[in-house]
Amino acid sequence: MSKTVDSEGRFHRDTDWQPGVFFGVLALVLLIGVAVLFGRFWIAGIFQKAFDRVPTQGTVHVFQFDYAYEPRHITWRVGDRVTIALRNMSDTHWHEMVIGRGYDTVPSAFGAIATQFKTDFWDGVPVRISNAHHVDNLVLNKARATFVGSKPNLATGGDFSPTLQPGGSINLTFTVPNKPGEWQYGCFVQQYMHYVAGMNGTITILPAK
Amino acid sequence: MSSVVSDMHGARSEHARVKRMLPPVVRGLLWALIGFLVMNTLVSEVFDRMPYHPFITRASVTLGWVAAVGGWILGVGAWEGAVKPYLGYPEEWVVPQDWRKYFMYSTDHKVIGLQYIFSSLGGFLIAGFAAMLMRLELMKGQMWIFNNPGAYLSTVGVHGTVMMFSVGTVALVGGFGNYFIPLMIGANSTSFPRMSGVSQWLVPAGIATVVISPVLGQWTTGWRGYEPLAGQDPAGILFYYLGVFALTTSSLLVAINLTATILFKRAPGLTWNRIPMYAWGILAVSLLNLIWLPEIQMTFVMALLNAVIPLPYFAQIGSPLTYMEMFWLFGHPEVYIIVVPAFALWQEILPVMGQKSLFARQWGIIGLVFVMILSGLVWAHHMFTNMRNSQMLPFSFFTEMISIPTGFAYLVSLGTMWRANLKLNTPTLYTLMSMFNFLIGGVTGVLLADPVVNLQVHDSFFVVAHFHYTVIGAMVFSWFAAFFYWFPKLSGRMYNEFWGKVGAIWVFIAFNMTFGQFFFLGLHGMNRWVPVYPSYLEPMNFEVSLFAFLLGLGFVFNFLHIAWMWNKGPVAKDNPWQAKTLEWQTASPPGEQNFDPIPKVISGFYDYRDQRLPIRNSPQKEPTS
Amino acid sequence: MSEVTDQKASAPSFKQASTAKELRQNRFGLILFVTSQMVPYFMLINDRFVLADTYVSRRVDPLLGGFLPTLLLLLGVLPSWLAVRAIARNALLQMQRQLQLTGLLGVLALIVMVWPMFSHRYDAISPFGEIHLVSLGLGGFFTLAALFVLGSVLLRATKGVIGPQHYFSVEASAWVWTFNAIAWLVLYIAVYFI
Repeated sequence: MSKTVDSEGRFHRDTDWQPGVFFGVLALVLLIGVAVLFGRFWIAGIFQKAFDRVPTQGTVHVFQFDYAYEPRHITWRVGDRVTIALRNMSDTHWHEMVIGRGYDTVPSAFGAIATQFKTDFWDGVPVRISNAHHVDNLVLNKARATFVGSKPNLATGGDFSPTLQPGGSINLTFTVPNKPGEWQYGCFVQQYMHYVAGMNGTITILPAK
Repeated sequence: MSSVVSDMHGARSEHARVKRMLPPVVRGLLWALIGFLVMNTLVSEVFDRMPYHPFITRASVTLGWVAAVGGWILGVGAWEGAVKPYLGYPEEWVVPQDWRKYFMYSTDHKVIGLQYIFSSLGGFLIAGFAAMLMRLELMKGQMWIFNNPGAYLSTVGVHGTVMMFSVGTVALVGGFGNYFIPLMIGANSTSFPRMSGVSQWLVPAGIATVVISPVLGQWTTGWRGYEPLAGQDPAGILFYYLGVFALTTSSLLVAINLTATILFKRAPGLTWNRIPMYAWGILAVSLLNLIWLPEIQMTFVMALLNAVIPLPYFAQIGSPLTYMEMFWLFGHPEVYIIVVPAFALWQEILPVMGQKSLFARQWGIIGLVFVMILSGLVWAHHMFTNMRNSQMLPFSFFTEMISIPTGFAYLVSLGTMWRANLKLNTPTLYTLMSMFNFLIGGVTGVLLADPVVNLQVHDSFFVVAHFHYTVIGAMVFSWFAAFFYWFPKLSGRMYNEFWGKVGAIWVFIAFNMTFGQFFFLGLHGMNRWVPVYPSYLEPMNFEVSLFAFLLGLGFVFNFLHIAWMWNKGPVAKDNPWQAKTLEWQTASPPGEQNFDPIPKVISGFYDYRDQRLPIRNSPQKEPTS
Repeated sequence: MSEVTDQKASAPSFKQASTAKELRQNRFGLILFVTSQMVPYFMLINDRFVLADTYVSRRVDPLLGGFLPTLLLLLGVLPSWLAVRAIARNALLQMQRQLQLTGLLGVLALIVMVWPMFSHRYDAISPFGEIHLVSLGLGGFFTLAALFVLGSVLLRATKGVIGPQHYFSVEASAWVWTFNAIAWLVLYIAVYFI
């Protein structure tokens, strides 16, 4: 941004700004806008699939938004000791996290809608539950749970699912069971609409070394 | 500039002039980004840290947006062009006289007018694209383009909001109004050129905000932002409120500027009796804007606080109906904000093209003013389903009454055409089409004002058809009429009459085939706000969508024709239509000074009984008071 | 008063001496804007009865959030117009003093009006009080705006662009101030007495 001086000693900018910079930046901004608007989950998924092949160990923070998870892809190895630190970041919405594969569906005007997973990842898995705050309810199903600290409100029915109130949190610590392959996680609250709206992700579990 | 410098300072300035300034728009984007990051970080990390400290919270994104818009406005030139001179620093904002002037802050009303026209054109194309996506989705009875209903509803919301607040409210007022009002009243600038320069740059900011709102989360309320539904939506609704806030602020400033211009900048001899029809239209619209835009801004501020703080309005205290009252108090006058300039345009174009005096001019003005007054008394017809029968009667009555002053606009136009030797060219064609379409929109409006019909077709495609006939049918067709009518004035060139007519007929047929069928879709049971519908409606929806795509292509064709002829068209005469209004009594396109000297008006502009000009170019510059 | 004279011909005319007509035009534009900003007040005062009837939250302090700012703002009206009178007589220093006095009163008013809002907890326990807080917040926002205008005029005064031929900005700040004071007075009466 240079300034030049005219005959009366006043400052003036050189106003012949470059069209190349203008159109280049404008095109770039438009491109970013379109990408963010239409493809942000898609792009994020590609990135995570591409760069997230190293198994995560220890704690993985899973944030719940309206209506998406961050991250959308997790990789684990069988036998590792891991913790899911689940956080509901929404100001307004209750969110859960169910892990499984296959779908139970219900027909509707929208076409078949996934209502929950057919297989529950947590079947028979020993899990230590801690740091439970603002948990609306926790369905244990067939998981073998132990509790540290305050015990959340337990409920029954459906797969293993912690449902968090806005701002809620829960930590699930467990040893990755011998169930290798692709798993899904998702949130099915509000008549499954969160899942339909894209609130889901995938977990890759690599076999033990 | 640079040659002066090298003359003065010789070798030293050889070093000084290597770098050029950053393009103002790029600088605006940069400052906006910096503003957003700084403010957002301050709020979300320092002042209002939330549990688990997310970087973007509702409060931080709201305040960050305010900083971003401030940075954008200052960056495109308001810093040098408005703020610094106001504070007493010398003015150092120089606008180059080439295409660059359209992409930076300017105080020339013609540049600002064209910037407004470009901005609303951009909004029209974006929102039109959203409409194409919607029609694509509705070709099938199930979800197939969007993967969830919320995405479809967000698209509907973006379409409606951008069309209403950046096209309907802006195109004929901020756009053609800013360009032509000073020309039509014999002035060289508007009253508050700096404010006008600032207000234009709020429009792209507002459009961009609304368009990227789904990034923050879906919002399912459409352009009406109904509470408490909006309160349950994810954070995308915030950008709806904020974007609309920017757009309405822009229109509010335009209203103040143009009202003051019409009242204080008129050429000598341009008495109240001689004020042009379009200026009357703009005056009426400005009054509506001045009353109702602050109203809707306050409503949206309350809804925004509801979402950010959060406050308990319309759910714990008040009711959904409270919000609807507040919204439609503005929402119905909005229709007349859109349509009144279109009426005024008919009355500008028809006398010129018929070379016949405007019929019953004072009744035309009375019509515009009474439409404006009555528009504030009809809002509750949008919620007949929520009211007692006894409450419906006055609103039904006033709504039907509004067809009387609207009828004046028709009678003035028809009387002008009566036995006129009407030149049936593209602007005339568009004007007639606009009249035809608004007739359908208006008559179905009278039907909808009737509670018996209203309760039956409420929230169906019948209503969608009705308001598209009023908004596209009247305003967008008149917008095209204005484009072609003033094309020689704006560009100094002539469009191609054949392709102009082809474009007009193309758009007219596609429009009527699309929205005409909407009436029948509605009567057959097609609901608004749903991406899925019973399968028996599928064939008709499929075929309507095809016409909708044809309509979209028709608009694109017209814009391409305009853009092409703007550069390549044959050079036009200064006054190709032999019009008497003031804007044609100067060069086409006007020079940097519209009039030099300011002309003296000696008669009205709509008297075509003889060939005498309505102005006398005074030999010396006359005092303007 | 040294007017800056080396302006380009195409620059807006505001550094030259304002003609009577320009002054009327500027005044008209400003009053139009101020008038349009009455609409939100009308709306909020009406909404209050719809949303909360005549309930006044016990947490809204009638002294801090009500009487004191009303008094301070109304007191500020006088020096703001005295400043206009002063600059019309070419008494720049006197104008600055008067405006500074107005500004001081404004800052005090802002502090006492924001205090109850600052100490208020936004939770679901007292929802009926919130409509008052939003009304008072609107008043606070406009007070801030009026102070902002005042500050910019004071800044201009140091740059030598205000003089007896060109003092509309001083008058503008007085108009904005008066509007804000009256609007707040109406709000005060509506919230605490009706």
